This record gives sequence, C-alpha cells and structure tokens, in this order.
Amino acid sequence: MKSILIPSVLTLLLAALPGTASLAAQNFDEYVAIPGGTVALTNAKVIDGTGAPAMMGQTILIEGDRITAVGPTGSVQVPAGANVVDVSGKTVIPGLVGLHNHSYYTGGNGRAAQLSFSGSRLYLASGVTTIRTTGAQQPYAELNLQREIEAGRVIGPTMYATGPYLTGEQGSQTMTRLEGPEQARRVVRYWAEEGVSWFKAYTWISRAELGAAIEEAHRNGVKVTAHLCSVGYREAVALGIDNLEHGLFANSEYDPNKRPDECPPGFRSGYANLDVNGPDVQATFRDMIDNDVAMTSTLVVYEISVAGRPPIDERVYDVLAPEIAEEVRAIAVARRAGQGAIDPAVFAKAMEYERAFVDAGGLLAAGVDPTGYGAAPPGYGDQRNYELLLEAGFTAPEVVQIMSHNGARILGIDSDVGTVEAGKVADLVVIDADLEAAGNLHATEVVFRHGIGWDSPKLIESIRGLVGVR
Amino acid sequence: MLQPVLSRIVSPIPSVQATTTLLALLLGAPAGMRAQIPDVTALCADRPPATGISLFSDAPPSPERAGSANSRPASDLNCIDLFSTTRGGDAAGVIQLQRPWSPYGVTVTADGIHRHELVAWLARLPEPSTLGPYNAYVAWATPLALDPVVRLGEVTNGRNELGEVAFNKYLVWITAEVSGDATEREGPLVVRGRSPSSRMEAHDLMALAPSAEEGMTMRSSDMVNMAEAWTIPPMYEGVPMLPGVMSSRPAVTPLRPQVEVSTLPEARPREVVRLPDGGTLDLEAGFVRKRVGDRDLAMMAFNGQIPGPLIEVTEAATVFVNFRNETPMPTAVHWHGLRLDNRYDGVPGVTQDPVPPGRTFRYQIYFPDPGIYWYHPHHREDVQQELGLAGNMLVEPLETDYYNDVDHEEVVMLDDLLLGTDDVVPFGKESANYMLMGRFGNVFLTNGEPEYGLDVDAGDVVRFHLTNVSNTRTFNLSFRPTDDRAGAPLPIKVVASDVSRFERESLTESVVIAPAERYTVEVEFPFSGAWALTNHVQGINHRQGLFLAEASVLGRVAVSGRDGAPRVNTAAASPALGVHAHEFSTLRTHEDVVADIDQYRHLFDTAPDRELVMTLEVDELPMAIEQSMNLDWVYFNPVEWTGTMPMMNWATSGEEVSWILREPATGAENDAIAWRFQVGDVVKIRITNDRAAFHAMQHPLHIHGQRFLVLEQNGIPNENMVWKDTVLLPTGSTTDILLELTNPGRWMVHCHIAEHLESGMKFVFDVEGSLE
Repeated sequence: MKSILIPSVLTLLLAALPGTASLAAQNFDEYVAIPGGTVALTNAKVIDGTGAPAMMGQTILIEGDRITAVGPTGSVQVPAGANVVDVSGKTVIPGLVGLHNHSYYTGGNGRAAQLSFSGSRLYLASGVTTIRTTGAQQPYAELNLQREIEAGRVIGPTMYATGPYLTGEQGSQTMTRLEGPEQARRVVRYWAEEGVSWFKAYTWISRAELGAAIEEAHRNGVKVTAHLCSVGYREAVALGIDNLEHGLFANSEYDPNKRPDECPPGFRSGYANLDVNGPDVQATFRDMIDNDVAMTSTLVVYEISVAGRPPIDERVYDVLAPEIAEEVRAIAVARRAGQGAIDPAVFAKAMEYERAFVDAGGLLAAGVDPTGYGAAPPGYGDQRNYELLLEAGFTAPEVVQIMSHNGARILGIDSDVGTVEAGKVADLVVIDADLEAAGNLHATEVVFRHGIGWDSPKLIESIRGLVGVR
Repeated sequence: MLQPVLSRIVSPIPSVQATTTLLALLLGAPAGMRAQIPDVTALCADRPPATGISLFSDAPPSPERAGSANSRPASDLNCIDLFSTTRGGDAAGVIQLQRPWSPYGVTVTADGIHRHELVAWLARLPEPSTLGPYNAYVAWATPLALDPVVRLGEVTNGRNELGEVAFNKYLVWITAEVSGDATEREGPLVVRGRSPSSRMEAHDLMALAPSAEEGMTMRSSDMVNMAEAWTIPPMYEGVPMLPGVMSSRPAVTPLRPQVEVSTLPEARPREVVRLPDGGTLDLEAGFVRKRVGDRDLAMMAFNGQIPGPLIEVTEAATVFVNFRNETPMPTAVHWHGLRLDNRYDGVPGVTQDPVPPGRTFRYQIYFPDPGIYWYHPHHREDVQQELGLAGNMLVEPLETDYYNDVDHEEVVMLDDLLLGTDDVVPFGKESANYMLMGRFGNVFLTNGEPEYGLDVDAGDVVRFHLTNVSNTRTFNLSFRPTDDRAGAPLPIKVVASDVSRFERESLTESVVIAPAERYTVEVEFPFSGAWALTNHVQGINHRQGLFLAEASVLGRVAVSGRDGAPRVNTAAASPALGVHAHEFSTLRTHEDVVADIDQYRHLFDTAPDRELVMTLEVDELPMAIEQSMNLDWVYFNPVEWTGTMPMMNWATSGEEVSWILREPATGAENDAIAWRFQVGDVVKIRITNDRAAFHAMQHPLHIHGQRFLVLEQNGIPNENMVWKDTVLLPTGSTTDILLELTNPGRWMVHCHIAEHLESGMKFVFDVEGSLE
C-alpha cells in the first residue's frame, strides 16, 4: 500500500504547489461550481448572520462580488440573463470569519507544517471565507500567501496576516522571545510596516511588554490579541488589548496562586467549580464589554483532550495525510482515555463561560486553532466549532452570527462582510441541508467568495491526504 | 507578473525548483544586479533584480545530484539581496559578505558565529526629503528577534562599507532618518534584506517523511537483514530526527573489532621519543584496551600508546622507522606534512603496497621543515585513525629564535570518538558509512583522554602545537574563564601552521582547525584560577532551521600563583606578569618567511593554471533522507561544525554517495585526473567548493609531499600567508592556492575528511625531475 502511496503523493504535490498552479494560467475552473457574474440563488433558507431567525423562500441576488438584493423569492427582481440557481431545501449562511485560523498546522509527535496549499483550500471548502491567522510561525510566508490569494493565484480565504508570536523568555524558539518593552515596540513596528494587521501575544509575555506592544500596534494602525497566561484578562484589558483568545482556557486570573507576570502551572484544573455568575467572572466580562474587547472561542482545539467526548469524526482522518491520521487517532484515543486530559467539567465550564459572556453583552467570535494534537484541521475544525457552540447553548442563528458577523466586527470589516445583506460582499455558504435540522455544516456544497461559487467537495478532493503535509 | 521566488521559499523542494526554472524561462532571464548597479561587485553581479516588495531572495537553480562545474563562489551564500518597501519605490541594492582576514579557513567569533564585513551597493534610493522630514539614510543590522539593533552607518547610492556583523541570522535595514548620525532607528523602513542564513526555516517536515517510513528505505542491495545487524547510532541530544529516517540503515555490513577486550594490553599515555639524526624507531600498530569514561574499549595504538609516541627530531634530520602491523587489517603509515622521499609517503597503492597483518615496512623519514606534523594510516583511515592510530612529530628548528621564548611547550592532539551504548559505533565493512558528513564523535579525546589538563603559574606563556586528528570535525577552540563562562576568552597568538610560520604573528580569540591541519599558538595565562579549553561552535538544528550553540570543555588549565606578581625579578619599568609577558605582547614579523614567499609574489595575480571543483554525487538515497536534504539545501553553513543529523549521516555509505574532485577543463574526476608537473614548477590552482551540490559542506584539502600558499578566497587576497599542506575550504567558496612543486614522485591530493577520502575524493599527480 505504501509503495503506491508515495508516487501518488508526489504527483499530488506537483499539482499542489502554488507555483505549479500559477503555471497552469490560474485555471481553477474545475473547482468553480457557479462562475461569477449575475447569480440568483432562489428559494433558499437563509440564516443571515445578524442573529435574526432563519427565513425561508429567499432569493439572494449576486452581481459581481456583491450581494445586491435579498428578499422573498418573487419579490426580488432578477435581471435577465442572470444565472438562476434553485437552492430549495438548502440553507445559505454568510461566509464564516475564522478568528484563530493559523496558516500552519501542528499534529502529534511534534510535527508541524505551513499549510499554504491544503489549509487555504480546506478553509474555503469548509465555508471559511475570511481568516485572521492569529500567530505566525513564518510571517513572510503568510504575507506572501495573502498576496497570492488576493492576486487569484492561490485558492483560499481572505487573509488577515499576523506577526510573529510575542512571548517572554520562556517561550518556544519559533516565537519572538521578548526581553523587554523596547524590543516589543520594535518587533511590532517592523512587522506592521511589512504588512501584518494583527499581533498575538503569547503565554509568557509580561505586562510591560504587552502594554508596549499594544501601544505601538495602535500607533501603527494594527491590533493585538493574545493567548495569555502570565497576564490576566483584566490586566490585558487595562493595557488596551483588542481581543482575547481561548475564553476560559487562557484566563489565569481566577487562580488564587496567580502572581504578577507569571504563568501559574495547571491553573485550569481549579476551574471546574468556577461560578460564572460570581463577581470575579462578571468583573472580567464587565471590563471586556466596557472596553470593547471581544473573546474568541476555540473549543474544538481542546476537545481532543477531554475524556468522554465523542470520537473525532472520520472525515477528519480522511482528509489528513494517512500517517498523520494514524498518529492523531492514537493521540486522540489516548488523551480521551485520560493521559493529561482536560477535566470534562472544565470543558463544560468553558462553554458555560462563553455563554455567560454573551449573555452579559460580550462580543464572542470563533476560530479553529489548527494546532495542538492535530484533530482540528483548518475548516473542518471550524465546522466542529459550530456543533460545539450549539452544545454550549447557543441557537443556530446565534452560532452563525458568532462565526461570521462577530468575527467581521472584530476585524472592523462588518460594513462589508459577515452577513447576508444587500450591499455586502458576496461571501456565502450554501449547505445542502436544512442547517437547523442537520445541526452541522458537513453538507457544505458551494462556497462563494467575492461572488465566485467554489465547489466544496472538489476542493476537498484536491487536498485529500495532504492536510498536515503541505 | 508571476513571482517565481515565492514558491521556492514556501516549499524549497526540487519540483518547485523545476517550476521556478521553467518560470524563469517563460519570463526571460532576470536582468541581474549588474544592469541596475553597473559597478556592483562581481561576486554579487548575478543576483536577481531586487525591486518590489518580496523579501525572498532567489537561490541557485536546484540541488545537483551530480554536482555542477560552476567554478565561482556562490553568490546566494555570500550576498544579501536588498528589497525596497513601498516607500522606496524602485530602489535596489545588494550587500557582499566578506570575511575579515583570519589565520584560519573561516573567520568566526570565539562562539563560532561567522564574522562578515558588509559592503553594500545601492541604487535609486529616493531623496530622503521626499519621504518626510528626513535628510539621510542609515543602515542597521539586527537578529530576527530585532534585539539588538546595531547601527552600521549612513549610506547613499553607490558603494558603502558597513563594517562587521556577527549574528547567526539577521536583517539589514536601511531607514530614512533626520540625521545621518542617528544612533536609534526612528524613521521609516525603505530598503531591507536578510542574511543567507535566515533563509533556513523550520522544515515542512511532513512533506514526505511519514510516507517514507519502514518499508520504503530498503534497497535491492539490502538482502541481508540490516535491521538486525545494525543498532541505531547515538542521537544528537535535543534535536529530534525525522520520523521517516528512523528506519534507514546503512547498505553495508557492520565492522567491529573481532577481539576479546579483556585480553588486550591496556593503552598507555603517549611517550616522547627523541630521535637523533640517523636514529631508528620500532613502531608497531596493534589492538589495546582503552578505558574511556567507565567503558573498556577495543582500540588501536602505535606501540600501545594513545596518542602514538611523540617523535621529537631536529630540523633536517633523517630517521628510520621499522613499522610492524599487528592489526588484522592491511595498513601503512603516512607522515603527514613531511616533504620526504616519495617512496616513504605511506600511501598504499601509490607509493607502496599495503602492509599486511603480521608484516613490516621500513620507512626513511626526512624532516625539511620545523613545526608540528603527524603520522597516521592511509588505509581505511576512517576506521584505523578513529580507533587511535595517530601520533605527532615535533620538529625542532635549527634557528634558535625561530619561536618566542615561552614557559611551557605543549603538543595537543584533538580528536573525537563515536561511542554507542557499549562500544565504539561499528564501521561499514564494504565501505565507510557516515559517508555524507563524515563520522562526528560524541566524546572528545584530547591527547587521548576525555579531559586534558595542564598546570601553570600565573603569568606563564604556553606554546601549544595543535593537531586535529578527528575524522571530520572542525574545532573552534578558545580558553574561557571557568568561573564565568560568558567572560572574554584569552587572546591567542597565532605563530605557525602546517609547514611554516606565518609572515606575521596575529592575535585571535579562537583557533579554527580542520582535520589534519596544525596550528602553533601561544597563550599567556595572566590570572590564577582555571581556564577551560573550549570548543564552541554554532551547529544547525536542521529540523527547526535554527542555529544551535554547542560548547564543550575539552580540558582545563589550572593557573596557580599570585596575580600580577612577577615570578622572577624583572626590570622595574616592566609591568610584565611573567618573564615572557613583553615578548608575548609583541607581534613578530617573520622576515625569512616573507622573503621566502617574495620569490612567488609575481605569480599571485596570474590566471589559474588548473581548476578543481569539489562536489558530490548521490544515488538511491532513502526518500526521507533525500527530502530532508533537499530542504536543507536552501542554506549551507560555511562549515558543518557538528553532527546534528546522525541518522541520515549514519545511513549513507559508498553505495549511495560519491564525493568528487572534478577538473572542469577535462571533465576528469578523482583518480581520472592526470596532472604532470616538473620539479620547480609553481602552479596556481583555483578550487571551488560547489554550492549547488546536493549536500555541500567544507573540505579540508590535503596535498602530499609539497607545500602551498593560500592566495585568495572569494576574490579577497590573503594578507598574511603561511606555507600549508592542508586547507579548509568552506562551502560555496572559491579559493586560489599556489602550489610549489619541489619534491619528485607520485603525490596524492585528497579531502582529509576520512569518509570523503574513502568515497574516492582523491587523485594522484606526478612530479618529474629531480631535486638537483
């Protein structure tokens, strides 16, 4: 079996590389289900991303890269010559805006790869039309990928590239390990000049460094989010941060042993009985809401480590490179069985925390975070987040809003992106199901980005076996 | 407009290289730097146009499985492409990296970081005032983490000398500033570039490795069950191997000493043998039991000693050695660096038949030059030398003030040994393994012991005669204070190397010494306390694309006595610590060496008479290894300092790897090269270490029986010469040497990495005529 695999992987690689794709005159027609132009999607069930309930029998008119009309079929004037596509029985939602969507992937056994090819396609095929990468291992690779996608030479979502991780001296050597605020300013300024739009601070940054990074970022017109530990959420809000990643999993401020500028080991384990309606948590939420600081949910990346969770969907293993799939499966089984697992009660508490944050008026978005042990690949992991947010108690329209409109708000692009409304960019997902009945996004059929309808199954076929590799 | 450079960096594997080449064909050849900056340095003239905002520099076309005939230094390893930001419009530029002069084959700090002088050529920088309230441009250098940022100086269009930079990976920025004197970068970034080393990124490791797991690595020749015959070799701590390479095995059978260790005589330390002119030494090679750490190992020794006996003679002496082979392998003894009678050069198949087990050979050895030399087998030296067969010869000068006066004279033999869990890691039987990079040891042996020791008094000056007898490791040695490892190393005065003294003595922080090279240096120990003889290098964690500092203590010098107190009465005016302090602080010019070289200076600028390219052919490498090597190809360290790819290296043998010396003029390779000279000829040879090779690395090139000068490297003249017999040729460099042919006979030229020699990286040239 393996002797057959190698040549096929090689062939795929040849076909896969961006440069090779460019050579083929950017002829991506085979992956396009509905070419651009004037397109009318009729008889759709629409969940528009505003949080409003689903509407039946809708027509969405797309002209060029914009949605020009949305309304009950029959009431929307469809121009002569429009490509009319009847989507009866299907659901249309806004293109998803993934806020923790790295361009690289890590799997088990220390494997890591920049997924400039397969990741980009799988995001788009899964309905994710906009990503913020939220931490770059190779910022220049990301900036180039962003440019290639904008130029139409690579298939993928609209990208908001991130600078290198900003962390303290104890961080990983693939990150920028800061030795003080001045260096933080320097790194932020340099990468802002190079074109990144966000930075992510990481677990071992100090308050002084984080404050300097935020100040310098804002001075340069870019923003900062963080996966924190050494700094608590309220401290970060006071320093002016724009977004906070991972919800409860990265907020160490409820640990009684938390000391300033230090990351208390294993702080989460004490959170099973945290009172999300108590004064501590509500104070965090109040600070965040008053200062317009959003939270990013990444439940899927933690799920692999939680005992008792359902098995990873087989379609995840099917799209990974076979050897990686084997490793991820082994790790998933072992960790679910209790090796270094996250307490199921803490996982449930994290869901409760996010629900309470929204109830308090907070702005919650979501992202996949295709790192950790590799069970949350680009796109498919976003889709799993949809199911987990339903489980957390949100309604389908709320989840769609979290995963589209809210992300667009955080990126500051909500006037253009994130809802199915006239005047918005035509980023749409057509699901071959009644989404509310199905409870998942697996039947994603066509993904519109900038008015072009991409064939989701064909894109997935084109990267099957390469995810985690290239 | 397509950007061919993008895909390469995203994925530097051959298919992409091919794509890029094709794209280049479609788009037309790049205009090159010459078209943009007419006076640009020749070395960097072929760099691609550097306008636009991509920071990815172009690299050579592709790794060559069979090497190329390119006889010029690699511009991508020696130049930094500068790219304009959007502010800089179509500004362009390039920086040449030149190594400052050093007495060694490469120039590094005591920590092993390569030092470069940067010269920038800039064109079409806009008037700074068009960018805002700015009046000047200033260049800066900074590591990738942007700390510190070092000012290089004000720059303008045209040629700019930027001074020296020594960072492992770094960026160069050119910013617009209010003043050319700015000491902190304030203004906007206009042009920038990054060092060749910074092209290394974490591998996209899973590119193919997982698919190359067990089952894919066995080749047709692997009919025997290698998996049982070989056990996994020692790994490099902290550098995980690719999963895909772990099932690779050498395609040769393992060779282990077939002796019972407990019955062997215990190895003794080296003894000094003083031989008069006409004297005779009986020298026997055989097995010994050598204790290293807590293990008893079967090793080989000359006269039961590791290192072999130190032969001391006086310049111009002739001595006789009755050699007896009591090992089970054929062998012979080569007298490295001596310009002796060709019959006694000790090269089996060229100057003599190998000496079979139990047989003898009588050598007549002539010592025309003072200095430090060494003897070792020239038959499967990857095995015999590694196991302990190496000894020094110290040739005392006739001239009384040839050397400075010192308090102590030490002969120090540097080596490393590769130990597995119980024993020396087996060798390849049919051919050497570790064929790609040579066999790096994991235990340092200095004069045969894991820790070298020396006791001196404060103020003493010690002359060290250093010889590197390791199979492949290049050392970077310094003396560090042990109480503060970050403290400044002691100054080292470099006096001599190989076959002569330098024209002028010089001071350095460290000694870079490649296999078979010798350096004679002096060190003053001014303070009491302990000093660590340290090997400090910057290896590469290939998997993560990171430099990896490796600092190892080889020994200690204990200094007793009162600091600053003269040990003997000296003139009151002298602030000297010891009696030789003043002499140590004076750097001599060796006028006789200068005069000796003067006779050849008129030849320095002539065209080369011969050219050689050092390259590599590989065949049927396991796929995981090949993929990883392809990824590594994006950058090569000038010196492969340490063995951070143990699995890949171990699994390669002569079955897959051929190292090559190629003469471009004839296409002849290795033994097919047929050079004939007359006694009295002096020839200039240009040697290029092919950067395009599948895995380029440094080569210490040795020429038997003659002496040569290193004239220039990468076009930079050598300003202080010494007569050499072995020269370290860094990756991607072009070096001119001047070979003086005074000694008739058949002489070998070869790479002195033992495994490279075994793979065939050698040829023999004839010198006809006689000395008269």
